[in-house]
Amino acid sequence: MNSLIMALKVDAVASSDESPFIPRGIGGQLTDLRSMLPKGQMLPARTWEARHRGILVLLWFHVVLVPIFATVRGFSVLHAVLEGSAVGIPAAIATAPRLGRRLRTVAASIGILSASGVLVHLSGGLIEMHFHFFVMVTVVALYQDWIPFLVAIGYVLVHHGLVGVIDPRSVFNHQAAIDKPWTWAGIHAFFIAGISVVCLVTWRLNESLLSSRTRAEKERAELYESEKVARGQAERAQQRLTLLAEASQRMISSLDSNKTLQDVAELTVPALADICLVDVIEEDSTIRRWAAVDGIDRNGAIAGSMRDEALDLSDSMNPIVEVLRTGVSRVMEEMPTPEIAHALVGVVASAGVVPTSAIIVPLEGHKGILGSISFFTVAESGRALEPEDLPLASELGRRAGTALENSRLYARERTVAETLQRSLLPVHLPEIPGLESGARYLPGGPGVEVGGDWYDVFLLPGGSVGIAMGDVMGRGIPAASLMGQLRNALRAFAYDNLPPAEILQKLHRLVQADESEYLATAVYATWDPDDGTLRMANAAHPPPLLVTGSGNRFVKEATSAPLGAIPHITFEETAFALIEGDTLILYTDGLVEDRNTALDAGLGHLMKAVESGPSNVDQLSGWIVSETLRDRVTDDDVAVLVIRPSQSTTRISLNVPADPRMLAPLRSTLRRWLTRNGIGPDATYGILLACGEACANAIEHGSKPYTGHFQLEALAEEGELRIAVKDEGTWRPNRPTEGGRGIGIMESFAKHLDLTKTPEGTTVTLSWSDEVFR
Amino acid sequence: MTAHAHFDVVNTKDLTTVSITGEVDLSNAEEVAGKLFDTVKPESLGLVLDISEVRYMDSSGISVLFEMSRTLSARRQSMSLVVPEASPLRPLIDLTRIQLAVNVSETVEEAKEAATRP
Repeated sequence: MNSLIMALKVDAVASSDESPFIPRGIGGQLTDLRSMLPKGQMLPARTWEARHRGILVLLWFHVVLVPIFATVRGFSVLHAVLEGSAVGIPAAIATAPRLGRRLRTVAASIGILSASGVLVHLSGGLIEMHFHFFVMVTVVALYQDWIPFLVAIGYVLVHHGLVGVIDPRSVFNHQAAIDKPWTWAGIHAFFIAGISVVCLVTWRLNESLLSSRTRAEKERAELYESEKVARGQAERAQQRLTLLAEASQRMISSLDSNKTLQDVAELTVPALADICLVDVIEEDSTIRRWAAVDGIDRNGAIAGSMRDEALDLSDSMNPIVEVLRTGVSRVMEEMPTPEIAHALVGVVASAGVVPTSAIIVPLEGHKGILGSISFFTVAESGRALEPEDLPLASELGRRAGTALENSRLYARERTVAETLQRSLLPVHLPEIPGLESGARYLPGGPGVEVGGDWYDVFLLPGGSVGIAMGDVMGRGIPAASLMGQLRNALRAFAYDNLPPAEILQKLHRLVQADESEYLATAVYATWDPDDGTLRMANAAHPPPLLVTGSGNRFVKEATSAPLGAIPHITFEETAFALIEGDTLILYTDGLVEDRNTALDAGLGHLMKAVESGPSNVDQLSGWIVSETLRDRVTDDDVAVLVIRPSQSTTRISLNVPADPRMLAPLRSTLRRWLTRNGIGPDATYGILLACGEACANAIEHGSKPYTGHFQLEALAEEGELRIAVKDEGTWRPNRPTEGGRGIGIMESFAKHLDLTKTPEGTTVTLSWSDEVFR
Repeated sequence: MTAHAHFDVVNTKDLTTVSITGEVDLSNAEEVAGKLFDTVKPESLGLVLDISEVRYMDSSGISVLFEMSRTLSARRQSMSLVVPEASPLRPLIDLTRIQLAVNVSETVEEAKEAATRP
């Protein structure tokens, strides 16, 4: 056994040693020779067809020519027909369309050479007729095929040799050839071979030229093909990038996520898929379909039906629900089961819309899965989603998730900001007897950022009126929060009846202590209704505009550095008269300056607006905003406050904070109003006392004791005085601090007492008749 | 001194005399009560409270007066109130019948006399 293997091995070694050597020598030379020869059979079918047709025409021409020539030369009709058939039979074979190409080629070659042979024979071996052979050989060369070519050389050799032996005179017409027909046949064949070689070289050169051209063409075609594929891929990649870029653009340009997600879904159909669905997990954990887009149905019925569908988190059949639960993307190049396909599209499955492939990706936020985007293709489009589409889909999901999260944050922040802003501006300006006021506030620019503007008008203990306006330089919740602190601090300091300069000094310390490093401008003034004196201090706020009968001017006195700007600021105070007919206008810088408007120009616009404004202070404040800003869109907040001492009115309405400290200023105001309306001094105390008891009750029993507001309305007309105190709480006759005497006091000191209790609150109406009037 | 009420206190050997000027209402009533309570020392025979210069007083102020009279009578100290006939507070004093609890006099002298009367 072993020796047999050894023998086989030796054998194998021997053959492998020698065989490559010998065949390489001969085979290599053969290969070299073969490569130098034309390959033949290279004519394309159409080219062969055309050349063959031309050769057939030539052939059939000889079929006709030969018998005519035979007749002219004086041969018999039979002879002429026989000679003609020597050409005609091959011609018939070469013409028969059902026969093979090779056979027809050979037949045509034989036929055409036979024509030469017959013509030589009929001419009695005339040497010039031999030229016919040479022409015919080159004609045969047109086939560019080895077989007819070899047939031609062989035919000349055999024809000249055989016919030369049998009947030398029908081939040759000179003695030397007639004596030695094979020798001369050889000579003729040699020349035929010569012409053949020339044809061969021509043929070979043409062929190599042709083949190199074909090769180049083929290479070009291949290059073109691969380039087309590459271009297609690049185009698709580009398309995806464009899609992603456009989707991102939409996502960042809008904070309305509902619309954004619909837009994104619309972008992906038909660029990426035939159907796109967006499902969002709402903050109450239900799933809501935010967008459904399809590229199948132009009237939107499919998308409409799908949009109304709501998924159930307990639905284990639906891969979308699975993605919502797990946050793991799914790619389905084909549908695993028809049931899953149906579950994916829900109601429209019964209408024949069934997905063929799907990609489902989660909408990812920082705190988890916010929803999903599902892409489907359907049979009609003839395409399918592939794993290569997943990166794009995932990226869309990530970006849409972030956008959704941002918009939720934004909505939350906006609510906070709006609440904050609302709490910082007076709900409505208090109706202070003897002082008309109007205000406008215009939030600047779009977005969540609240500005730091505020204004305030309030009654002070002692009967003066506090007037404040300020602007924290900066935006956002920290700025608004500082402004809130300033506003409340200013009120608190003001209630202690501190002079304006001192109040600004205290606010300055407050801003300095604030860690946010904001600056603020503010103007604070007190107005004494008794003598019309206005005392004002200004911390870098734009100068208030004083409008009087004798001219208008900006009050620039007593202006210091902004609050918080430098460590030590000396605040000054200016005083001027603000009497009936005068108007004071306070505003924030957003009204008069911005990037494109210089302060002086803005102040000019304001001055002009005031000169032509309406007389009503509320309308005037609106007019000032619209006329000064004109069509300017400002990024900054704009606040305008207009105050004007007025004639006493017979009717007042006050919104009073439920704060016992308000009772004293309220009495001063009311006392002044009573005097102006002709109420005698003897009656005043009783009216104030009854009203004070009603107000104290509203403070202690209102809906928000000590923190809310109550309403006081007073009317002095046609010999009747009526004061109503309304709160939003449950009225109780006894207060802890008055030992149950309040109601008795009211009953005694008012002519008439009416008590109305409703679920919304309590109204105490006190009235007096004409005896209280002087 | 409160936001809108001012106190003048005179302590003699036997009596504590307090004059209040200004206004007494819900906002400062408790403060007024505390101040009065602190002012009357245990060795004093009684309190003479002059409210003739009080411009305004409401039911919270009346409650303070009643509370004070209860406290002082428990300590066996007397209390006299000075409210002139012309005072705007007079109708309120009459209405709340504080005369039943404390002596109400026209002048400080009358009140002092009443307070030291055994």
